[in-house]
Amino acid sequence: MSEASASIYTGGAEDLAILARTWARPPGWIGWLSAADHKSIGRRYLVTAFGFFCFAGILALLMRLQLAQPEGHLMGPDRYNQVFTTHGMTMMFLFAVPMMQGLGIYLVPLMVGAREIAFPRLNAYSYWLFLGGGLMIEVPFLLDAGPDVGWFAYVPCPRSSIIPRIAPMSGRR
Amino acid sequence: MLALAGCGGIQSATNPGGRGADAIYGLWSVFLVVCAVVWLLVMAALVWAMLRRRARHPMALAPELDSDPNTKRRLRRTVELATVATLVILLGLTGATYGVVSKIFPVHPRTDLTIELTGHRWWWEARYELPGTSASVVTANEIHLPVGADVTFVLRSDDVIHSLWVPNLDGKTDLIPGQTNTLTVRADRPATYRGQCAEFCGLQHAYMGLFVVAESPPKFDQWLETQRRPAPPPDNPDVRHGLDVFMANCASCHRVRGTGATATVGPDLTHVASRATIAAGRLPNTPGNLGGWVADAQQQKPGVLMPPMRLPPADLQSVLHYLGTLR
Repeated sequence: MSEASASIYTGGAEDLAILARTWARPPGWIGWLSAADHKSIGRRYLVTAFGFFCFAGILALLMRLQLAQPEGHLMGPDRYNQVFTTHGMTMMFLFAVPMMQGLGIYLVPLMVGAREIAFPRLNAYSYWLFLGGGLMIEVPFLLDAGPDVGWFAYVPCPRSSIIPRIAPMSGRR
Repeated sequence: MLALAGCGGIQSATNPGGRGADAIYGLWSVFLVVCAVVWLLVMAALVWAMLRRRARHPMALAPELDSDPNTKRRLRRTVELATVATLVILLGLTGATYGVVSKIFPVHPRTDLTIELTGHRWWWEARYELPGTSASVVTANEIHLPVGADVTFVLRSDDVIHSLWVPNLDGKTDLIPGQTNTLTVRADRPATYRGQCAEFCGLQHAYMGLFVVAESPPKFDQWLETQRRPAPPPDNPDVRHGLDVFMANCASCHRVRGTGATATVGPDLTHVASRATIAAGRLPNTPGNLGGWVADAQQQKPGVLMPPMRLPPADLQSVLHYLGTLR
């Protein structure tokens, strides 16, 4: 009688242990990699997006340095085009959107009183896709092979079929 | 030289020299003044409110809710007035904008002269339509206009999207492949302005410039008459050799009316020596610059579609002499 009115949960310590085990993070670095807790994932989004934000900020400074005087020669035209394209893509897709997403993933379950967001492992998987996809955008840039057609890429400018009718003998493309 | 003039307002929307730019500058000025006044009033009200609250309730943490009916009525009046003022300002600015747009883009613009302007990577091809004659005037990167005339640009693109922007004359209009846009401008006084491609179009977008020379109608007619003539035949052996070199090396891309060179891949060079700049406004048109450009255009505009021409020095000199006769 008194037991039933004390708490809604009437199970034993064994059930609580199962529950704790289910939601616990596996030990070690495998556990760190496979974390699915919304607060961990949300923090990772925020930290990673901030990293991309700093990278894009450095690119912005490079652009301003190039434009600080007429006929600037800090970068060639192709490098400059890569810089503003990568800056734009990074700010839009790797900072602005994931930053909001990270805040939401971290805060919304706390605000609505839920233990987790729906599909926590899909949520974790999304983070790793975000990190991998972001690196796929930045690494080519660091190898001087980044996209150079503006982050909006208005066709037909980026179409590879638009090739010079007279191929230049020097110059990259 | 034109290209070295740099600033001086030859590429500035705040130095209007045509009907469209005048209207845009007027609208911009109205926006500037109205928004500046509104901003100052809002800031003044904010500062006043902060000082007043501090003076009356130095220790108060939360604003007091006034229940005095007179104060309430005054507050409501103020909010109503501010709302009406906001509406009037926004509607007024919207109306002014529509007025300017209808002035810049009339439904049936008057046209005294039509120029077909085609965007290429990374230069401008201008073809003057001359009514009542089969002769054509084709030039590149330097457009002459008669002052006071309504000039309609028929805008096309040969490859990717470009945008024509001569801020001293008018707003910008895109050149889109597979679509024809038009823009009618009127220059109001003789001057030379610089225009710029305003839609990112690839590697050398930044150096896709053009010059617009607005001049008195007699001077314009004289210029057009000169441009209309075919190239003069060579008048000495050196220049004749230059023409031979040109035909062997340059004629596969360039046209010079009056010779066998009829290709239209690169700019028409029939009167290249009459232009103030080469390479879409990149360089002043001097023999040294032209020589460097012919020998290796990639040095000046990396990625430009003109290949380097490895000519023996004597041939290069002859072809430069020949190009110098194309006035």
